[in-house]
Amino acid sequence: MARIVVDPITRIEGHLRIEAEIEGGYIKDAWSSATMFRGIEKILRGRDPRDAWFWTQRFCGVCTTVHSIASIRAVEDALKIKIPPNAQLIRNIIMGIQNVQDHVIHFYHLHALDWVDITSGLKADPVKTAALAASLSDWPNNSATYFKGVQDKVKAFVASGRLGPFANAYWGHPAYKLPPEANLMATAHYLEALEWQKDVIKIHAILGSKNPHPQTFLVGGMSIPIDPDSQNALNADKLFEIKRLLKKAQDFVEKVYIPDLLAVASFYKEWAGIGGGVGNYLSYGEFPDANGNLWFPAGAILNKDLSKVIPVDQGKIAEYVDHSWFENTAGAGKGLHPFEGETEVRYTGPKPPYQNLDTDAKYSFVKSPRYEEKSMEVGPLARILVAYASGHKETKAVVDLVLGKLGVGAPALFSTLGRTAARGIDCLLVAQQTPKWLDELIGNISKGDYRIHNNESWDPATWPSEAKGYGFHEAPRGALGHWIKIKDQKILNYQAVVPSTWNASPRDAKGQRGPYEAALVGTPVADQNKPLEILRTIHSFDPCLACAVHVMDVNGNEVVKVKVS
Amino acid sequence: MGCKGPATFHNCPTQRYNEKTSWPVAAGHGCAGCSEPNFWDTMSPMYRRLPNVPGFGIEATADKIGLGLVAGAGAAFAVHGALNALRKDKEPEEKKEG
Repeated sequence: MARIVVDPITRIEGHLRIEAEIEGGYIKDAWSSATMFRGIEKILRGRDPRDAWFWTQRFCGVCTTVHSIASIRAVEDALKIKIPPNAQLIRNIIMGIQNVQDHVIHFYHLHALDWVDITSGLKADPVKTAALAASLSDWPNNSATYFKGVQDKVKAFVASGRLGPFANAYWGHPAYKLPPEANLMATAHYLEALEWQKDVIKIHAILGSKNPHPQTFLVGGMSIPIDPDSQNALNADKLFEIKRLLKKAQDFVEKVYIPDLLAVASFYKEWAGIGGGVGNYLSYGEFPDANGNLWFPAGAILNKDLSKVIPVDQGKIAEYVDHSWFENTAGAGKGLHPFEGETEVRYTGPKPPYQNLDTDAKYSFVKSPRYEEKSMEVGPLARILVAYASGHKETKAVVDLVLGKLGVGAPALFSTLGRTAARGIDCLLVAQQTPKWLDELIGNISKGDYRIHNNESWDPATWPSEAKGYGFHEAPRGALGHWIKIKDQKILNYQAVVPSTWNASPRDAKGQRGPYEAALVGTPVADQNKPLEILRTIHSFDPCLACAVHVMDVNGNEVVKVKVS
Repeated sequence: MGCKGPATFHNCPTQRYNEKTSWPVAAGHGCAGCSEPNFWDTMSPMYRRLPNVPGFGIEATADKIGLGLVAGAGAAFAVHGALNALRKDKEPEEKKEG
């Protein structure tokens, strides 16, 4: 039996390590480890609760709005603050375009190269590529001249010998199945998406000054002033610019991303039977209307049973540290609810550099959150499954359309391919819905409603001496929760249980695997020196530890280690 | 001169983010001094004016102090100057070199 290590499995945003045991060409068991510690929760103690969003936002620069949203919601819950309808709509637009941009970046820049062989695209016939693309959509760039231009550009890049982001990948791996033309088409859209994402995210700058890290959130609402008569506020010009950018976002998703996704998926249908994982799914629901009703419903699904959606109760969440480099006062085998959560780090792993982690003991800086002691998968797949099983009309229509086009049934969703398809479905739904929130906002403004902030409880003197609350958000990567306790106007305790904590979690006290670990079991590996299949399944979760398909050390040597035991 | 007047040095009001689209004050939010060394301590709490300045109670809110500033802008300006002098003393070594 061979034990292989992929570390780091991504090159930016955190450090994720996968150890896997391979037997007879299949993964027999796997362990997921985060090798980096973050402790912003401890830094927050003693600070003003109204400031918390600004610091939690800096957990990450990729999901750059999500921790601000969860944080202000937690404080608003604790202080019983209701925000004005316009603030809710502006938040929905900010969250919506974040979701759309994030999913497109993930598909093209962080995940596509697990399926698309760029070097094969160099052999493609641009005329045939244009014909293929034109058969999929009426995108204006579907011409032979355009694809020839892209091919020449990539050829020149390869000839220069400096491959940049395309260096050191598993090009030519037998698991790549796309014909050269499909590879060239996807490569062209990889480059196009880079420009596109830069433009559409300007919506964050218009509403919130900048991206990453928009600065317009406030406990009680938003700070961006609305005044149609002022150049220095959200006025008609800016609203129409947002409308234009949302249209641009929707067009790309409808005419490029979804057709590419379906085309690529049709060559990899065997992946609809691989990478299923824990089979439990959790979604907090998202996009409230003025009355707080959620557009995407909240719920949990257990054991892949789509006939039943269980209501979410935040009281049933607990974090375990039996296999994590932390201590908690609850003791071995016991979890702590996030209100009582602790961040007491105690590293007991081997001194680097090391060959293997002792996976029978503690082996990760990620805790193990569990819902009623169950390991739960979160993310677009969970969100879409909960919406689908709840009978959400828009979701049902798109899911059935995609399943029909691929000629597979709903059980195909419980897989690596299903996860990647669900992200596209989620992206399309939100790209089509976000312009409607903008129209609602414009409608309110035209009726003279300029309110964006409720300042009734802004002054800390109005607060009770003790309060606690939680804020839920469906981030692009899934269910995100922040929990806050406030005492004497200051933060007493703060805990964030983030999507990748759920998905990347190590085993719990009962030995139950986390979602990444469970999804890898049974995955075929054609060449254990080039474990492309591991990347496909792990990247299908969109770990917030993104893009390094291609693993190198400082001297340019491959770092993927294979240890035969 | 930066977003927070003489207390910050970033050029975001003129350069503006995302291809000259905007900057925090244009989105209605106060400057957090995010380009300054140690801004997480020296520029916070964010919604209470002039943090760490002797003479203001910790309970004073931005609104209350704002009213005070309107009533006595000259006095407030003097305090602001004193604040900068205070900060200069507390700045770390690398800042002084730059």
